[in-house]
Amino acid sequence: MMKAYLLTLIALFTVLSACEVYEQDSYEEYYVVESYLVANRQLPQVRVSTTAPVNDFYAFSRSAIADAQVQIRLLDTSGSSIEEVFTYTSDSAGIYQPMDTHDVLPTRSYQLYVTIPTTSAEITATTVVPDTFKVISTVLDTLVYQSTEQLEITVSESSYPGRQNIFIFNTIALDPDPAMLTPIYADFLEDEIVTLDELTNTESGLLNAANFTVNQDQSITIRYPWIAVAFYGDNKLIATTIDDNVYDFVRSESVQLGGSTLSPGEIQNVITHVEGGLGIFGSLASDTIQTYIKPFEF
Amino acid sequence: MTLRTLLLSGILIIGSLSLHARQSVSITGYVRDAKTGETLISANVALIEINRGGATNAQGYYSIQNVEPGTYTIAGSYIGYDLFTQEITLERGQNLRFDIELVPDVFEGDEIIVESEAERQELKSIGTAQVKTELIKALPAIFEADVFRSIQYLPGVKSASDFSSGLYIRGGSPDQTLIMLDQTTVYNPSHFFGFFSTFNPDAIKDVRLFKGGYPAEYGGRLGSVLSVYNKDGNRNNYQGSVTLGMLASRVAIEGPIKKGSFMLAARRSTLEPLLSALRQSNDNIPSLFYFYDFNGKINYDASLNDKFSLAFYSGADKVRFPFADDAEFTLNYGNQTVSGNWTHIFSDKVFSNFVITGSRYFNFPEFEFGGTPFERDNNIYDFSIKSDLEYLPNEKHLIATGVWAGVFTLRLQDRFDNQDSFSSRIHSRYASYYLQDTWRPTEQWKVIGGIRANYFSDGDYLRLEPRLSAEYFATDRFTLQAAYGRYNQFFTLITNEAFSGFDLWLTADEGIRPAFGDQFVLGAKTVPFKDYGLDIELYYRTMNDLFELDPFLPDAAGLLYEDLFRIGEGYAYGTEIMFEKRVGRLNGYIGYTFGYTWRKWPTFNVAIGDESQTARFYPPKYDRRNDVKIILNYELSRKWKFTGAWVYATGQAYTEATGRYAVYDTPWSAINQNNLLVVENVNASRLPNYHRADVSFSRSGTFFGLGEAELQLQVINIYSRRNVWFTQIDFEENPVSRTDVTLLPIIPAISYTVKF
Repeated sequence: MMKAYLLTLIALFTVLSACEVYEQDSYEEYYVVESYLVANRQLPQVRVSTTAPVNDFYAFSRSAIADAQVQIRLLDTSGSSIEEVFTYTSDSAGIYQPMDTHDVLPTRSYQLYVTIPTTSAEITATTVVPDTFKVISTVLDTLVYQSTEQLEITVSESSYPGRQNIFIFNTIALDPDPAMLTPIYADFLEDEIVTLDELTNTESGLLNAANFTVNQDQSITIRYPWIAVAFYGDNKLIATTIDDNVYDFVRSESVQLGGSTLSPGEIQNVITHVEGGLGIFGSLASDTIQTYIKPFEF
Repeated sequence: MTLRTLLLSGILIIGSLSLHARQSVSITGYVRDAKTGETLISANVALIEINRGGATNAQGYYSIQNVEPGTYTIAGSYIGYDLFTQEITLERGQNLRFDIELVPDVFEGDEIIVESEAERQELKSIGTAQVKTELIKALPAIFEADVFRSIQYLPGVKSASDFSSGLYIRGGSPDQTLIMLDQTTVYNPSHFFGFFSTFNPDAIKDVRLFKGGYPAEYGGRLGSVLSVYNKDGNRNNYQGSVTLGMLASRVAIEGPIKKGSFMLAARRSTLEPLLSALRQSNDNIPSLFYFYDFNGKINYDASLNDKFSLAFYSGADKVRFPFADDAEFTLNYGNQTVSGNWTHIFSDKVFSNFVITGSRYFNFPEFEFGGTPFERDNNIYDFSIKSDLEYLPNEKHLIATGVWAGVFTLRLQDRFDNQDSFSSRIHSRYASYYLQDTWRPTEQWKVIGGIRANYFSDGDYLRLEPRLSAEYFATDRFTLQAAYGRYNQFFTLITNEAFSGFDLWLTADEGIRPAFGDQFVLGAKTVPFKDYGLDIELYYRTMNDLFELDPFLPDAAGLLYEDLFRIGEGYAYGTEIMFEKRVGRLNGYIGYTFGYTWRKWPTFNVAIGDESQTARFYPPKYDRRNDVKIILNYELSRKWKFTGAWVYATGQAYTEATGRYAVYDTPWSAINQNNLLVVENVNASRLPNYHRADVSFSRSGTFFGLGEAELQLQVINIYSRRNVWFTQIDFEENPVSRTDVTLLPIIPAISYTVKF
């Protein structure tokens, strides 16, 4: 009987120990690009660099690629062939500036094309620029913090191919004095949960247009939550719509180190839509208003 | 084939078998605990002279058919009870109703405990495990005896972390296990955000776990079934108990009523004094933090053949945490279940059980953050009726059939800044029907074949599930087993292993097909030496059309339902070995599991530079290659008992980033340098191996002569192993620094129970 047990166990382990192997690969270097087109603004700068081993000291200047050939190409309306090429030149190591002036066209497709002569590497990425919009409502000059009268902004109709608009809202304090912080953020600063710099420009995260009221003329009215206000005083409010590349980049980056339903430690790559490398080539459209927030007086 | 066709065919089969049934002598009845009157599940009853018998069903009922008239010795046995024997005479044409009462063996000595062969066989059915309430209470537990944490000690069952009572069974996630309390589905059986399960050990009679390859009478989940039964209550005497613990205290009372019994058990956390003391020196302490639960059951025996019972459960967790000036988080979540049960014996050959169930899960988190409120109302209502019929046409067949139909309603409403931001109401009807035959062609063979049909109204899905298992009793010490089954799942759980307080269930629908999978199990159950058991099971299972909320979805507003999900697949395989000593002063087991589990999701774990974006399989975090569990119970003296547990497991899978980069010019962010990691293979690295030893000493005595008392002293993680939960990467340092987030350190616990 014991022999039978032993033989069964040995057979079991032989079968199972021959199972799948899944091991971590070693570090590999990738090229990294970064650039953001903004509708109706001049072409942006482009950064070209490489990744670094995770345990090494990291600085952009160390990873910068100085000899890249950089182009941004305006594609035709079908998005399949090149209509115009904008060549870039190196400004400082790894940072490239456009040689031509060109206002980025909303709703059009652009391609980033980078080659590295020393390795013959080719990096490409394509973006569709969001349509422009304007804040069309009258914004109150002054609002009282946490009063019933909240800031409402109405933005004109705009669209993005294949999906609803996705917004990011930023609140930029023009007078970021710690004494002007709203109570909750003052507490966070005191507990060193955030830095003053981080509070100076707060962002909303990604918000679908369906969150907001759609008016008869297809404009959208957005009620600005008090949570977005970190400082009393003058604040600039920026509404931004984004392309698919920025959307995928932001949503995957925000959970790379945990959160959502992913288990802690289950890290995944950020979604980049860059062929031949990593990074981001994104586009957006935005508009800005300004208001003054007064502390609530009892 | 429609559900109606299947139902009709089932009725016809039973009808035709009834016509062919011949007049014969039979013995039927319930097996009960002589002290409390509780029915015993899977107790063994046999006629010794002709070696014929069977095990009691989930209602404690047995039936022996087609016996020749004559005089026999009937024997009843159950582990922990004295053997019952009595001579009976069966006369031609007689259908004898013979209820058996077994006397508990309080001493548990070697010489008194009788192992029930049928019970052993039943418990050793393929993929099946039982956890005794006594073991649940005896096992060292983190602050509080817990059903799920006891189950986590079984081979094939894994935990995500010390902080989670979630059950990861044979490579499946927690939502792949159907959890039922008195046949009612419980949707979020946890307290303290997953730290404990909701089941109060004082109220529990029996815990059955079908780890895999489960029979046609169950369905609805891809992996496993956990069936928990409330106590009926003592039918002979009033009794109660009071337990004072460090985290929670419990009180239970039970006793007879006219023609029946009742049981009430309550439990409440008792953290308030500790929280109050902590608040004196620390700001970040919740201002409110407690849980409670109530279990109750009333039984009424209307006649010899009709039993009614009504069981309920209600539990909730409440938290209020002002975590900063002008910021507060509150959470109120819990479950409520009710079930009404009617057991009717139509004849000596037909046994039936009818249940009406209701289950509610609610979850109301609220954030008030700088004048901006966020509120969620999440409610699940599940009302169902269930009917099971057992028919014994002869001694070779046990035909079981049943229907289960219900209405599932999910209401989810999010409000942000006092405005509705998301609203969904899912109202689904579901129905299932099964037909199953347990066939014993010879004494050596037992074959269970069945089919289950499931219907789900959202998406109009009808799914058929064939099930088949076979057991070959080669000798009285060696049994070979095999099982196959197809399983479907119409639900998915949205949760996080670190925090189950926001759990949300979503369903299949148009465009979201139900998940399905096949399970193959092979097993050998052996008795190498008297009182010892050595069991081996191999399993392989597939998981297809797995649907779960896309973890990268930042905002669901305005999206189609099908766009909320990612659809993936997976498979798992492994072997479980269990060597146990079931009886004696020293008893316990060593369990070993060798397992693999893999998942694949579109665009996840794609090789960098792969333009086709081909996803690759990866092991989820709870994949653990080797897993060893040792449980020992030792009766030190008549008063002192020792229980020890040691667990060893391969470190959990995690992702070791290989590279890093940064972006600098993000127009939407104030951060000058957004650091990002580069990953080659998701979860391809392993944390340090996990191991932990827990001990428990209990001393029984009396409480000033008023009743029995038990003092329990426990130490969790006795050698204070700092097991790693996960590693945090900090970009504030350059190069990056890593911090290990560790699991529980050494924790002592004490509890005192008085029984009256």
